Amino acid sequence: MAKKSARPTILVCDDELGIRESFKLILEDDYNLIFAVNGLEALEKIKEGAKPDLILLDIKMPKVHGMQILKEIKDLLKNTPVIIVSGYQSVEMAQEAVKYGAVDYLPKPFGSKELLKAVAISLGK
Amino acid sequence: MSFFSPPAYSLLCLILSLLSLGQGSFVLIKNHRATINRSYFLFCVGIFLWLFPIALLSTKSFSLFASTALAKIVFIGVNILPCAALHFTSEFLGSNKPRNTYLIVIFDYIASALFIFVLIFSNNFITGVYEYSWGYFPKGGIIHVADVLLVMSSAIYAVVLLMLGLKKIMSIEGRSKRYHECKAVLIAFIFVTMAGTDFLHNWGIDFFPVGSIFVTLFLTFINYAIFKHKLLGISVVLRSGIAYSILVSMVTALYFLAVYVSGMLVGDLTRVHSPALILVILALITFLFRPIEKWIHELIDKLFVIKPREIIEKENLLLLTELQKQDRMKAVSALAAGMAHEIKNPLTSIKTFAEFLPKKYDDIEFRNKFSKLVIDEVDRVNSIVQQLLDFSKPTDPILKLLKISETMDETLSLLSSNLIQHKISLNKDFDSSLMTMVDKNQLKQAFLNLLLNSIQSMSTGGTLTIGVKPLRSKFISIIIQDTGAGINSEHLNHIFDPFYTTKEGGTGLGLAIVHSIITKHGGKIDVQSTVGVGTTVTITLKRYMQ
Repeated sequence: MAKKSARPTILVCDDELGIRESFKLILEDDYNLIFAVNGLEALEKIKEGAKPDLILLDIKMPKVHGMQILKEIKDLLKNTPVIIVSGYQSVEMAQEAVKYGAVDYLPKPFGSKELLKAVAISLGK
Repeated sequence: MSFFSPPAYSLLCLILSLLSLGQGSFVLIKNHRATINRSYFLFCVGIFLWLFPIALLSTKSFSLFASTALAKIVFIGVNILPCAALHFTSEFLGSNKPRNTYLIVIFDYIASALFIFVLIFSNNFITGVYEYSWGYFPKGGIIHVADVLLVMSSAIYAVVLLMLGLKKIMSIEGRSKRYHECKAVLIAFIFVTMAGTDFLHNWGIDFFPVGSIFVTLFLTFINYAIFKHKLLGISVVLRSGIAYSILVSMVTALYFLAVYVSGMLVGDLTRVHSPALILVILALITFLFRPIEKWIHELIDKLFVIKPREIIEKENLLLLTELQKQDRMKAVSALAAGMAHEIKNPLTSIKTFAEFLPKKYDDIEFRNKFSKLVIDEVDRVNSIVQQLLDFSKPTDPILKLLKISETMDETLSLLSSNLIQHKISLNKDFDSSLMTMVDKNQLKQAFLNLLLNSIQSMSTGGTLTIGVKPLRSKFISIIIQDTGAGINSEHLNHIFDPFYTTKEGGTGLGLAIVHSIITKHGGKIDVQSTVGVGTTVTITLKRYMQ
């Protein structure tokens, strides 16, 4: 139990199987992972009691825009850091993400080292 | 004997009067509602009324009474010329003329009308005719002097207006098309003003009557402006118009020549009018009509460097294809940014798995997952690139029975990134069973153009609602509704016009292409829009059952 609590939990929200598998490969050794295939599922998991230490959120997802999900997540989990992961390398979008409470903006395609570093910084390691 | 012998001078005036009337009539027929065309027609009527009676007077074959009556008709024409010229100049210059020009035009019309009134009822305007070696000519009285002052001052004023207008156009636009058009009109009007030398014959001064030569130069320069610079916007019609005017004149000339030569040969003028001879001449003219017409057309094309109509049509088609290609490329470039994002997802997976391959090489589960995932992702990238290529290069239309909802979904998948970028929520209401017979690529292009327009209209986000529904069991209704800026009613009437655009850098072909594609497939397209509320596009296509 003690060991489990030492491992931070990360909620990964991305509609792409390949991306979720990539996150799993890179992060599963050091972190507990919860997966959501879209923003609404991520919100549901949080409402059901999930308490992630960090959230990795894609912007482009079906049904609801990632930026809208970010706002709603921040309403529910004010202090949980959120990293936006997106294929858009747009300064405007990055600025907007930060405005809504994101701590970082990771462009795709990312490498494992970049992701691990961004996650570690966001978790204050 | 003067160079301008009676028959030659008469024939020249006859040809010019007919040419002028012919040209004026074509200008009027082309756009009878335009004031500029009407004023030009009036000017040509003036030339006709001036030169046609002169042609008759030059034959010296009328009595003094009849000749005086013809001389008065000449001056009705002469009095129409200055006001029509000023009116035409005023309309031609538009905003490039002094503000009070309209008042002067009205004054000129009133003054000319008064002079015509006096001309008809007074014997102090035209007092008879002078007999010159080249023909009879109107004899001016006291009132005639005042009339000449009005006519010449109006003509000179028109020239001055054109000179000032030309200067203004030069300062604003430089040596633009409009500048060259104005220059040609100015030269034409300088020539026609110089025809005022004919007034000297009204006072008994005898020299070659060169007025008609200046009219020839006037018509030449006006025609030059029309051909080269599309003056009055009537290049195509006038090409035929001028060809027929010349043809009519040549036929007339041929007839006169035949009559003249026959008269000389036979020596008895009464016999040349015999029905048999006229029939022979008419048969000859009928026989020569087509070859002469063809020759005149070729000559006009050659003189004015106009390419044959077939080549122009071919070039226009090539130009249209080129512009359609450009429009397609614009759509492709709008898609490319979004698709780059689509490609980045599979690239991320491939990169991560490749990175972990050395470490997890012995892990069979990893290797199986890796091989499947990489193949799937490469196929995805390939499909994205292929879709982009489908848009960038046109293919021959292939009609196939397909599901509208699938084609719409495929188009939407290309735009998913654009929707996200513009923060647009998408609502879909598709009846996936509806089928139609269409060319898939063309329909996708039509959908793409419409969807891109909708997305661009929602610059600060909004909702895009797309419906694919049955309509009266035999049709399919495709509805694309946005909550964008909307289109005002003035623009709405023109949105399907080729090259009509309100977008900076737009080709104005996007919706024209959509319209063309939908109508070619036997469908209909309707657009309803309210500024500030949004736009709804409804496409109706025939439904096919499998």
